[in-house]
Amino acid sequence: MPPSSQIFYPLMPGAKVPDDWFAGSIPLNIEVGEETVIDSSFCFKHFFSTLPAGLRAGHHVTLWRTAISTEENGLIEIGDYSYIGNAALVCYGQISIGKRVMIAGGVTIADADFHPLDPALRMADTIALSPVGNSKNRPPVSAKPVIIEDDVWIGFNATILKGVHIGAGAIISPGAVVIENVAAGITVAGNPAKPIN
Amino acid sequence: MRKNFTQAGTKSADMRTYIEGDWYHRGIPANVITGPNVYIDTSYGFAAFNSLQPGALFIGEASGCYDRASFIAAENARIQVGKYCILNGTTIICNDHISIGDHCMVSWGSVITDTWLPVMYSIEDRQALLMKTGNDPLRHYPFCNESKPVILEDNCWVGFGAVIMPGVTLGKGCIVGCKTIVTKNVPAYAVVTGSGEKIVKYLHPTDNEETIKN
Repeated sequence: MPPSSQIFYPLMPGAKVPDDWFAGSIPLNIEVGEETVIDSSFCFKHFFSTLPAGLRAGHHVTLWRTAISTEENGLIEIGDYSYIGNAALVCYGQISIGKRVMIAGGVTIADADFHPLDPALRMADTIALSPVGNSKNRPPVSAKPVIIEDDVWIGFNATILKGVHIGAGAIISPGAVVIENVAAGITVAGNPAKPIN
Repeated sequence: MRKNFTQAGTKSADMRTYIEGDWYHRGIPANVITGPNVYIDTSYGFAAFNSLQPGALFIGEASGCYDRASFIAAENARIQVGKYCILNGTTIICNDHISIGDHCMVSWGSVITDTWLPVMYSIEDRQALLMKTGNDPLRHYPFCNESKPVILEDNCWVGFGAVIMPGVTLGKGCIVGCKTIVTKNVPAYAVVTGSGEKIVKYLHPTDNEETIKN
């Protein structure tokens, strides 16, 4: 196989990705089904989960240029045959993606605000996060799991925010900012995303 | 002046061109044709360029592909980029045909695509498409079968994070505001922004031969 055409390699816990441009490796604490592939260990640059499995991916999943970013207790689940290209999954607690979900380029899915809303607590957070701070002193943040059911398609540059539950087969139009639940089978668009048609 | 593609690129035995000092190591396919003084930052943007067409991508004189400007192209894709264009970290997703005129500027995080049509697809069709992709050893992007060509006429400016959808023509000299999702044609010299892609004003067509000379 010439290197020019093969850009995906099996996603294996603790392994190096062959021919990787990034000098990293795949974390050990992930569970992966058969025939699930990735392009680079760079996807795990911000994977800080300390759970026994911080990523649970099914079989025949494709992960391309996608940030699998978790905090200490973060869990990301991705179902069989899902295809995620050039997206960012940013997880504090839980992001669950069903089977045969297509996530297009530029998409962000986040299950938390990652910083407090309160001004004084935000100041404290900048200090705790600074080079001289202690991240153990960080104030609590608000997080709610994101659930995306089977057969959902998410368009270019869309954003899915915390607590959102997207029903099976729904379509999120490109550029939509989804802040509330989406019923199964419908199409939403806009900021904030609303049903269309 | 930046080192252009012809100076910095070396054609290898595999017919791909490798850019001097490139941090990504896979090179650029032989069916990417460039005019004089074209600049390309990195071959990273060509990792998913799978078109088999001869001359599948043409980049015109003195145009630049900066940062991670990416060309995701299916087997039959043909992409044309004019002269003096600035493609800065934009993603072009092409199943059939995308044409960009001269002097266009396209910003980071924006997408130009001729295929996003899941609304026309039944759930069964979408399932079949993803199963087919998951069973393809090369995992080529799950392109829908239908596509509608996209055209950017000369001197368009597309803001960051905008999405130009299938079938759209952007008229000469128009501006698309940041994060605008463009689903219908934009008239020449219009400025469109926001949800519902409203035309907020028209610009004076000052870009004629006379004014460029001065």
